[in-house]
Amino acid sequence: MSSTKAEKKLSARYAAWVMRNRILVVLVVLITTVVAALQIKHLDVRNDPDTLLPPTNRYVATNAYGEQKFGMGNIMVLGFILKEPGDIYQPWFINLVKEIHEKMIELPNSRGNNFMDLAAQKIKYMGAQDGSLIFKRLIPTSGISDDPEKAKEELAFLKEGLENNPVMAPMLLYMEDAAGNRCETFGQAGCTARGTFIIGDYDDGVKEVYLQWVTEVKNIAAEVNAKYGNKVEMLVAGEPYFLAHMLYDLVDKWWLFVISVVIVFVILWWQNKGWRGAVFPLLGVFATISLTLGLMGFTAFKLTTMMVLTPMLLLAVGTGHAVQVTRRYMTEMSNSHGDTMTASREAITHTIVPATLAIITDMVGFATLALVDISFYKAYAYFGVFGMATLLITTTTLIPVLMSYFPPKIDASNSEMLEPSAMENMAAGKVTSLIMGPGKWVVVLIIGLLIGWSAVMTDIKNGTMDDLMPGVEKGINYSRAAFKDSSVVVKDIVRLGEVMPGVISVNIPFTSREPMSPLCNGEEDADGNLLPKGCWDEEMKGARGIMNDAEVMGAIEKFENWMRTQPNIGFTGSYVQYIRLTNMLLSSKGGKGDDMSLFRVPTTELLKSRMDIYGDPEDPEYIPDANFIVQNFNGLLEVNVSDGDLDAFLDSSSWNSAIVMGFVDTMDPVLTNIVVKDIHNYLREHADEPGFNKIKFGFVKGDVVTLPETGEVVTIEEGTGSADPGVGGFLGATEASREVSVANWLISPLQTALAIFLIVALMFGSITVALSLVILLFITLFAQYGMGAYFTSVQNWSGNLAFHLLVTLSIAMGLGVDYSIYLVERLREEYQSSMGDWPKTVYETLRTTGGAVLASVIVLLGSFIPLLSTDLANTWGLGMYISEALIIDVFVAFTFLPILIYWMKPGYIFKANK
Amino acid sequence: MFKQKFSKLKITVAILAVFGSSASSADVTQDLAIPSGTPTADQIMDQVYYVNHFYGFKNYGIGDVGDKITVLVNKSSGKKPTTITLERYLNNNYADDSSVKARDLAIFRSGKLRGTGMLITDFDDTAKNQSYAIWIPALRKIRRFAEPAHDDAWGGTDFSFGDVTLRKPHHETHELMGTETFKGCLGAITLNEDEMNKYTRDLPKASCISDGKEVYKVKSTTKFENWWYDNRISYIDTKSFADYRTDFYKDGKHIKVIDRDWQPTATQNDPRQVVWGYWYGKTFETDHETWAVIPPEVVTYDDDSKDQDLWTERTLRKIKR
Repeated sequence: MSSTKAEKKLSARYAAWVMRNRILVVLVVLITTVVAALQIKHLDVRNDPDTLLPPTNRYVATNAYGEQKFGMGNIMVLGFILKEPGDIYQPWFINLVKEIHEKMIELPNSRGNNFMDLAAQKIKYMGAQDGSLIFKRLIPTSGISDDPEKAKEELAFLKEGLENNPVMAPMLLYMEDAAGNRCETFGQAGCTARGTFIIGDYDDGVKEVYLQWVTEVKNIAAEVNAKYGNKVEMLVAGEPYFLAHMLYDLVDKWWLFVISVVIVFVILWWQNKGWRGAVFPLLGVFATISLTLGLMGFTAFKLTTMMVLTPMLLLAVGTGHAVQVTRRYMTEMSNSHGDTMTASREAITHTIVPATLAIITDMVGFATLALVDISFYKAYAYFGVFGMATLLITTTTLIPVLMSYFPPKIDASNSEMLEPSAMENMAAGKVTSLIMGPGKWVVVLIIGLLIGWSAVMTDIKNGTMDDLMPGVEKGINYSRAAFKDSSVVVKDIVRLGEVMPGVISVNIPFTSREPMSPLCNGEEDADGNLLPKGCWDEEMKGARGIMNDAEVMGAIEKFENWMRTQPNIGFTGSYVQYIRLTNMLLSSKGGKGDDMSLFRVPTTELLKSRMDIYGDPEDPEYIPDANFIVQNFNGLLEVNVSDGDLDAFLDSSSWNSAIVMGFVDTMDPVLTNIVVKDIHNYLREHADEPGFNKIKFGFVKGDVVTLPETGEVVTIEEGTGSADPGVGGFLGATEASREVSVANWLISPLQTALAIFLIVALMFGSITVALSLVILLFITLFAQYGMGAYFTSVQNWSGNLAFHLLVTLSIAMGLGVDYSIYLVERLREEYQSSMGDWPKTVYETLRTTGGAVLASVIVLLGSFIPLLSTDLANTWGLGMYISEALIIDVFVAFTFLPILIYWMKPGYIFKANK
Repeated sequence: MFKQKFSKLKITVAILAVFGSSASSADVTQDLAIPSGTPTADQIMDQVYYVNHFYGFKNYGIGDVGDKITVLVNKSSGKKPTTITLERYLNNNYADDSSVKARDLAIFRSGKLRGTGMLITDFDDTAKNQSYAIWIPALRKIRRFAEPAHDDAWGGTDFSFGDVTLRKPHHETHELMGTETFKGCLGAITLNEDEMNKYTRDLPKASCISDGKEVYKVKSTTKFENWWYDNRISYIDTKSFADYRTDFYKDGKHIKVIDRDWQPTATQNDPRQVVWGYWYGKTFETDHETWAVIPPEVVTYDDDSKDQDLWTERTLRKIKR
């Protein structure tokens, strides 16, 4: 490869040009770095899962449609649980909740009208007094009175209003029995209200002010804890908080990045034996990081906190290249007797080609990620490729240039700095002895054990074509994928999971199977037919749309009732609950509104069974009409709510589409998958029943979806699962993540491996060398699957092979093959120099490159300290997978690669002598 | 993430009210005289209350004549409008009744509420809340409801119950900011051709009756704590005391406007005997608009042919479906 005359000529010309124009090179790097740095402020790190997954996925499309159509996409939940004995009906507690309600509404981008809590205007007392139904705010707008008598009255009113509401009570109250266990059933006797919740909503603008916003939320929580910490436990969760907190944690741990840089600096100083060897590489690497972050800012690409991996990888990989070129410069200084211009030129000449080839393989690792339709995969690909490419300028080119301005002194007294250290010599000797003798079987055994362990963990022997490695969980537990177990965010979510019906949502939009007919416009044709032809005459047929059809309402009621029996669905809600409640309130005898047996949809079946309620004593012939009742209730609800109040549950402009929401009480990726399957089974089994046969749920393959807000049109593509409809909410996002993972966990790294195989084969002109390197990559890859399986087996959901960690498989391949390429190239050179003496070839190769490669790996691992040490589990996962891969890569490159090369005897090395 | 899609089950099967229902005030009575000289802010707002509750008439009605009927249009931003048609009959003639001050009957004539009727009774005793009786045709039952909250939306519109009926002069402090000439026309909803139906095809254009009129500018500050608005500024005709426009403010931000098209009556003995041509409202945060249009043909007042029995629950029961 690099040793051809043409290449040498080209690289020499490049080096000569650089040295002639070195001031230009420095200025160009400086100016572009500064310009790029000015763009960094435009970085859009928003952790928006809605933009991460492929929009054509049925779950993603269903979720996006549901959110855009029905809103409530950025829900916050604040829990207030009493620590001391008693119930929540105490003035200080209620006024505290009211105060926090107001503060949360004052935060930027709040949708105050969507808030649900005991202080919200829309949450009403519903009851009867003196024969009149009462709908009244639960507490006065001024809060609970200071007057004890008045306060007692107000609290009693609140208690009755909350605890007697079959829809609100399960959502807004945490009730405990005498033994302290959660009361899960509405109306359960002997229960005391021990906590309540604020459910808030924010618009998408919050994503642009995450840091400021989450800081304010944390300040509110801190104030409550400072003032009432001994009396009340305050819990905070919700999508915007969760996502913003990831950014907050990263920024909050800025000092970890400083430590990382210091480690890199120290290693560079040690390895390059002087300040120049530490400062210049870092300057170059920082220029690359600035350029890359600047490009991210300039393009306004929506990023996630996981993108922090990119600058850290650039730091590590760039440092590796910096070490190589610095070492070469030192050697050339010695060769040229201190002529710094010559040394710089020669250093560039000798390193630019291998550096280019190594960086190309890194870039291939990143570039193949662009084949996956996930935005952050593409972000890794685009910015990774760009950053890696700039390293050729900022390290391999710039460092010798800077050295030429500030050359180190090289003379006889410090010439040892140009030679490998005694430790490096000793290590090279030991390893050479090991792999040239029977010890090589120890190396083979270790690798065999690694493969065996991975095989056991991944359960590959029970694999099928659908799932080759059933031991590796590909689904995601979003809370644990984002945060470590010790994080306050996870602790709050876990606690909320104990006191609320569910912690993640499932949204299932539905609409009519047949398109709606147009409304008649009041005009007629010559024959007296209403126009337009086939129109819907509301005066004759009643209101249009499936939500005016009692049979459909009955079907949804049945579906929700079933959902509530699924072991992991804690609660459900839909517009049907409005109708059930309205029916109970208006149909109960005597206008008392308290007959729970009427907390049902007034279907024909119910009407027939309860003619004592629905019949007309003055008109025995009267047969009530279920559709008319439902439509009348719809009309009453429609005119008695504020604009948008119903929109969270149905399309109130058409009355032809709506949504069912459920709350799932687990994030376990296995259990969430079961919930989705159960829903699919239910819908499939009941698809042809009355009511169900008029509607379709979610989206399936081939559906063309127009998203209501963005106007984006997507066609649903075939998923890896069944042909059942997608569901939305966080359960949908979870399932979409699983589908993406299942589709890519094997194919994506295999694509990368293939690309690397082809590139290496072309570079070296040797299939055998390419095969050797890919064998090493597969050992590492399998071990990574093994680690994913291990984390699955211990249910560490921060470490299983969820979709966000798949990127590490490809990236690690690109990085890992670097070392092997470098070693192959050196083996060839040494084989030529030693005239075919293999043991000497191996020894010299390890002696002269081992230290530099090892330093690169230590730098890389050091730069992962921030990734591993914040509260973020996603960066921890990235760090774990890449670290594991690098450690294995280095081990096999130094030990198994020479053995393999010797066994396979590629002509590229063994015929080079000829 | 933790994306909880909690239901927002707003449980306000609250009360249907009639467009422009009557109401009572501790201060304002049907014999309120026009103030002499320059009125104070409080006097002006009493007069506004008097005018808005039609105390200058024995009764006031908006019925249906041919295909003319009162239309209530609601339009959310980016959505097709919804329409409701209704009739309404107000009776202020209870001089012989020691407890009742006024009764208001409304009957909905189209859409999902067709056949729904409501009778609101306003009592002389100012401490007593209004009573609401609603005929629910699908159940063939009358249900009674307590008086709604001032800040509840009225009929799903941009008007609150306070705006329409419940707010009384003593709920606010008033400040006369001066007298000026009202410039421009009032607001109205412009519908596209494809948004029109048989009820909205012939709606009028925006009214300019207010243009050039001399008006009092009165700032009213609410006495309620944590209220949805801090203050509102009303533009009130200096002769008829008809309030053409009210701008609502919260934290210094203009949040809502209500415009009223006031039309003179044919037999106007008192300048305050004016009737509505329409109400228009817009909430700026959501861009939601409401327009209640009353065709002049359907308006009646001081109609002696109307029997007092019209304003009873018997009328509601007769509605059937």
